[in-house]
Amino acid sequence: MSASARVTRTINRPVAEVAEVATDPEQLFAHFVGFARFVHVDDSDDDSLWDVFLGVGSYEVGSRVMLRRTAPNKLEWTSVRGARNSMRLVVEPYIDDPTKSRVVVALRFELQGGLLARLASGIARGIVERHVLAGLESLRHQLEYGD
Amino acid sequence: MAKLGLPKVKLPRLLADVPADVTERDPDFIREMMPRLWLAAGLYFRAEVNGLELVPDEPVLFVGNHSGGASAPDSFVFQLAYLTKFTVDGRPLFSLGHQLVTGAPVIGKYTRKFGVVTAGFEAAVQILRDGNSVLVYPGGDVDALRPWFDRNKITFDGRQGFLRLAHEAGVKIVPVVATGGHDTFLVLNDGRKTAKQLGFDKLLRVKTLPITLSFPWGFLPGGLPYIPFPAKIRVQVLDPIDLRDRFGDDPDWDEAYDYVSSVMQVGLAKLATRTILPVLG
Repeated sequence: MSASARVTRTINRPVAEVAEVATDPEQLFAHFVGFARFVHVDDSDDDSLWDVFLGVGSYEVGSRVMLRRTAPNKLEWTSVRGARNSMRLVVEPYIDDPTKSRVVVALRFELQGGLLARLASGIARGIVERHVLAGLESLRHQLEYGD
Repeated sequence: MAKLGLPKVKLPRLLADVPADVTERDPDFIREMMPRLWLAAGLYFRAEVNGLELVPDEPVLFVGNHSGGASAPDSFVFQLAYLTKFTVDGRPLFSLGHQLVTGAPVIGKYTRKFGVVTAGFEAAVQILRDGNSVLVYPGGDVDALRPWFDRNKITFDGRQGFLRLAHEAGVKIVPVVATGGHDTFLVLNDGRKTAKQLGFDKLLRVKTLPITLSFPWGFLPGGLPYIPFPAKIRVQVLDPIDLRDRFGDDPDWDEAYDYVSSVMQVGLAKLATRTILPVLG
């Protein structure tokens, strides 16, 4: 079965400025301090390979992902080994206010099994959402205040 | 009242005036209580407090978010940790409390002995100038009774008095964020409209009256003291903020408010990533 987590954050900066940082893996991942590992593995054409692992208590869950900037305001990844998951980050203009933007992160992951997988996906969704939100808050703060 | 179609009447004040009196703090009482409170904090709440080494050796204004309504277990966990590190007589810590707390029968007396004083600007400035540190929760009851789905959100309700307090007293702000307190009971909604319609904001200076689920009360409007669920409490002290250094002698208060709230929101969101399951921690 598959489950998804979706997190949205408004940032008081224009789309172009936010997208430049948010779609650059090096800069973006620096904000996701709750993740146990973000390791750049290799580059090929427009794609880059990364190991992405989330710290969950005393163990790490994650996978090797193929990451691509599909548009100036979009970043996507798909797992190539390890836990099956995909992620899509989009920086959108904020309605009626060009000085603001909205970052939307949607992460989809698959778990094998029946009832236990359903239970685990519920727990995992909460963990993922909290980590992504913390990363986006850190990104927002840096863009708005330069800290 | 008018909104409910009731006649307009002048509402009596139900709270006794309890002036901020620092002499009511009782170090012997605190020393006597600390071991049993640590037992509760350590065993029941599995409390973790980090970052106290960031606190400078000078009077500071601790600014925090607090959860759990009237019980606010994260607040007492932080105060215990502070007293343990800096000792009861080291640099006294006074907490600014709602009149509903300091003026409450029985409980009020004990909280005042523990160093809780009725929140007031002039008194707080004097406490800081006398060399003490002060702990304030700017969001007050609106923060402590925010809905559960906002548990990891800084809710100061636009209140900026803490900034003026730190600026006037010439002390740094030390932000303190906490998680877990809101898992000790459940707040189901934002009760600000209800509190206003029932006149609680004027009668009791209570700005919110949400529906809560707690033990042993079950569903109840408001936040009476309750027996908390044994949720894991985490507290994180963040880097001090020097308002004069960052915003000058004549700060733009809105800008300073947004900045401090943002710093604390980042800290709270990071701390929340350590939670695997609500209540269990």
